[in-house]
Amino acid sequence: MVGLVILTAVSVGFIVYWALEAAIVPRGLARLEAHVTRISAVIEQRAAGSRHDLQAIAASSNVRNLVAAMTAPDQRHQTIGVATWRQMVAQTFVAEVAAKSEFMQLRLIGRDGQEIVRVDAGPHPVVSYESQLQNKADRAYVSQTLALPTGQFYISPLDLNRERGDIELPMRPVLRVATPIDAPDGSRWGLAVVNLDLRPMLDQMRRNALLDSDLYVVNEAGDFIIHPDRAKEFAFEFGAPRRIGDEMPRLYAAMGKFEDLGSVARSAAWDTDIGAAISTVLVDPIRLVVIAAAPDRSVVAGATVRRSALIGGALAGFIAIVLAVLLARLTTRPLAAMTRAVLSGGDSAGLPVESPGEVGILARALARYIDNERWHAAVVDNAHEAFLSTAPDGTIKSCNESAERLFGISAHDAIGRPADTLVDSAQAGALRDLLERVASGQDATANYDVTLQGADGKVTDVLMHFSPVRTASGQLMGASILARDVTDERAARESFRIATECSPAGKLLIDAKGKIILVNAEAQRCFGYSREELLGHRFDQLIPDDNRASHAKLVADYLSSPGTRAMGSDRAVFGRRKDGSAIPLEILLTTVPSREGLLVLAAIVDITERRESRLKLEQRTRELERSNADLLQFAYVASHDMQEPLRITASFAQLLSDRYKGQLDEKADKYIHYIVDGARRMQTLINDILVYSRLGAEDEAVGQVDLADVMDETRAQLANLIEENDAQIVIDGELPVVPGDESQLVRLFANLVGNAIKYRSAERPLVTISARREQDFRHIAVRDNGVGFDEKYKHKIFQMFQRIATPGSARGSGLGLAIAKRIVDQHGGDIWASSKVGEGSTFEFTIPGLDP
Amino acid sequence: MTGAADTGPFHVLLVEDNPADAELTREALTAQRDDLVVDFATDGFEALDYLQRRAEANMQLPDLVILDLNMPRMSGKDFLADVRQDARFRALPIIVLTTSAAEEDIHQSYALGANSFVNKPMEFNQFEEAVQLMQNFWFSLARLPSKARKDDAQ
Repeated sequence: MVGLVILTAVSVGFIVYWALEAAIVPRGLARLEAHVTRISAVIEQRAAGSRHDLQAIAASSNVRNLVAAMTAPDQRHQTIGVATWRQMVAQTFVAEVAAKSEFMQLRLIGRDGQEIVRVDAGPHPVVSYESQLQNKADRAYVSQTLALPTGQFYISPLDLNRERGDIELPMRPVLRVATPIDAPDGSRWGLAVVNLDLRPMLDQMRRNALLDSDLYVVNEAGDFIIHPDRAKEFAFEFGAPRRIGDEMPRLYAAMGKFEDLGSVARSAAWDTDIGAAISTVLVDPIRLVVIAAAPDRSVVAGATVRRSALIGGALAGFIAIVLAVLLARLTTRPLAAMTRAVLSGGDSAGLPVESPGEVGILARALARYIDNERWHAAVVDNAHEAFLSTAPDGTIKSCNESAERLFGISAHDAIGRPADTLVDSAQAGALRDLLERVASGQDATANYDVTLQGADGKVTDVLMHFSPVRTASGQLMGASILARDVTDERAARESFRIATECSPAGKLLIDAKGKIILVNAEAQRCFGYSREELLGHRFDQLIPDDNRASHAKLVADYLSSPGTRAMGSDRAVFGRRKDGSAIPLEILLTTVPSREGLLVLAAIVDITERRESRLKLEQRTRELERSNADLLQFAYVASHDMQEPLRITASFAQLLSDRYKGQLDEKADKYIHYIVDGARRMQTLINDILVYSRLGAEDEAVGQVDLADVMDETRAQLANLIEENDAQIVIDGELPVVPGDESQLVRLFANLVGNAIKYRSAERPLVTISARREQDFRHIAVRDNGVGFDEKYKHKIFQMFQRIATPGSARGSGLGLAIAKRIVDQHGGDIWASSKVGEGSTFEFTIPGLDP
Repeated sequence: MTGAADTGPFHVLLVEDNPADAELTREALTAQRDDLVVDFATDGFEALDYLQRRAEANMQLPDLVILDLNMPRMSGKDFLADVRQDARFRALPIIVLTTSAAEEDIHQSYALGANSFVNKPMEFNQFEEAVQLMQNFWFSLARLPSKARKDDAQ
């Protein structure tokens, strides 16, 4: 991350650089090149100077004299001794060391490695005494120099000066230059060696370094001799080498190319981010590489503009990088949190949404995104509908829990499987085709009904809906499958369809414009049209021509005060069949508000049969009424006219009996009695028939009748009967006032009470009359302690001429209870009886209507 | 003025289609009276004709008309309606004697001008009794005005 930020910062530099590079960079490089060339030249020059100085010293007369003196076989012949020459050489050396600031030590060393003269520089050059001289035979420079041809130079690696094994501080870079010295006879005598103090030179180089670039000097091993960071100079001397390869690997690699070049090679090259010029100084055997590097291209560029701007730019660059690093640090943590949040599968809790600035904005955006993603994922996962997605090749890519349940699969197993394996093989082909067409964009969407059979044998109807999945740019990525268990829905729809389609009533749904939008089988049958001939057509075609105007008005009236209403209840409504014939209908209209306006649902019942049967019934009723009236009239007339002959028969029989009493025998008297008795009974019968027939023929005189009065009248009429039988009539409680015909009610009570007494048992007759109120009618009971009757006759007794065989000899016309029933019927009530033979009977009846 | 006999037997017009019934009524009427003249008409038409002839011939009108209701050609009710239209017969005592006990018959008879409505009892004895009661009542009542009229005429 930090690297990324730095790279970003550097990239900014590059962008700036690349804008200027063409014009400025070559000039910057040229400057660096010139600089290193100059420095290299200085080094070269100094090295050459030192070599010449050493050569001059080695060849000086004092040295030659000393060598000669020391190698002379006979030292007696010498006017000046070795010690003197040594003194002389030392003085020469002191002069040299004093004159040349870089000479820090000048020595003569014998072939055996023994120092012969040694002068050390300092504020006052010091000449070592004989006792101070050391043997350096073990040193590389001694042996290597002694091995050189005459006139050649040995140059040591550049290292730090050591005093008695310890590095002198402050660091003093030292270069040893040595050259062999031969004896007068040509044999190798020893060597002269000068220790050059390079510090002044290096300091001068540092001072001369360009302000806008860094100066590096490295040795042949890559160790820094000069480094902007002084701590890295001569680090190898302290056991921790710092090499250019570590810091500027590409530059180091580029250096390799110059290895075989001549004494000074120059070139310019770029490291990753450093512009540098390289100059190589070859002072055999050592090689030094001078590098002037501008650490930042913008600084290189700036250098061509203004020095102050360069400093400011460099500073700004530095601050930018520092800030970038800080910012990167600040950014890294939130980004790590965001990364975790994304990888954790959408938990936005850890996101630094409170962070200021861009991080906060990003975090909030990410939180929203994650929440959104999580929301969408949750919506899909928790959806009641089964949801699957498929890749373009038809394999399942995802599925939610509902899909797992519905198809009896697990997401783990299903993903990667072809989607057509969701259904059985019979349905798989069609599913595959549809899915392919959708996934390939041929069809926008598709629906497919499938039937799934679960492991438990339960059959499920499923509606699958396929939609293509596209990227935002519209590229097809696959398809989605939305599946839903429609078993119940389908069953409900099927029920609805059956309810509608198989309804015995015709159904028409008519929209606000009068168009038929639903029709069922019965409606088709009623009108004789096919479904296609009705759907979408106006319903007017179903109305007979001569009814159209009136029908339009009916419809208008209906729509002005809609509701549920019957159209054909009070009069016949006719529909027009396809063949033009009329069909009588009963129509029930219901308005249904909808988005498209008021719909009218018409329920239509073909009442052809009903109408026919009603007409038939009406006719039959009329016939029955007429025949009934005829019958009553007949009964009335017949009974009336039958009275005359009966009376005449009885009267003459009586007349005969009276007038001819004594002239006829006893038997004749008995016969005459039979005639009279028969006639009398016949007359009772005729009277009752007359009453019975008149009950239906005459208008009732309906009024409020007090049943207490009715009972008084009844007692009066039955006075003889009551007296003869010593009957007791008890009224239990109070008798009410009822609406009715008083004379009829008297007859009713007289018949019931009379019966109760007539059909008496051996006990004294006790007749109890009670009344109670029930809802909207009166209930009256007449209970007796008479002979009773078998309950299997309880319906028969109310029929005409039905007499039940009873132990007693009571006789009636057989019409008493028929008349009672007819009276109760006329009053709108019911009459019934209950009894037990020997325990009396109870006759009960109701009369609707209550006293006001 | 009416031409009715001053004295002599009581005169009854019996309007009855059934001869047996007529015989029974005559039996009941004459059971205790010998001075009773009974003329017969078999229906209302005949009865009306009888009355009109007598009125036109200036003969005495019957003292009492006993009228049955159910008769062919002209029923008792029709006869009543017609006879009361005629001013000459307005005071004529007419008794409806019938087997019918229907209230409408009773009401209608009185409304049409019958002077009395008598139900024929089933028992001959009772019938006889009823007829004699009726006879006594009407004949005694009918007598007095007749005599007064005769006095006026004299």
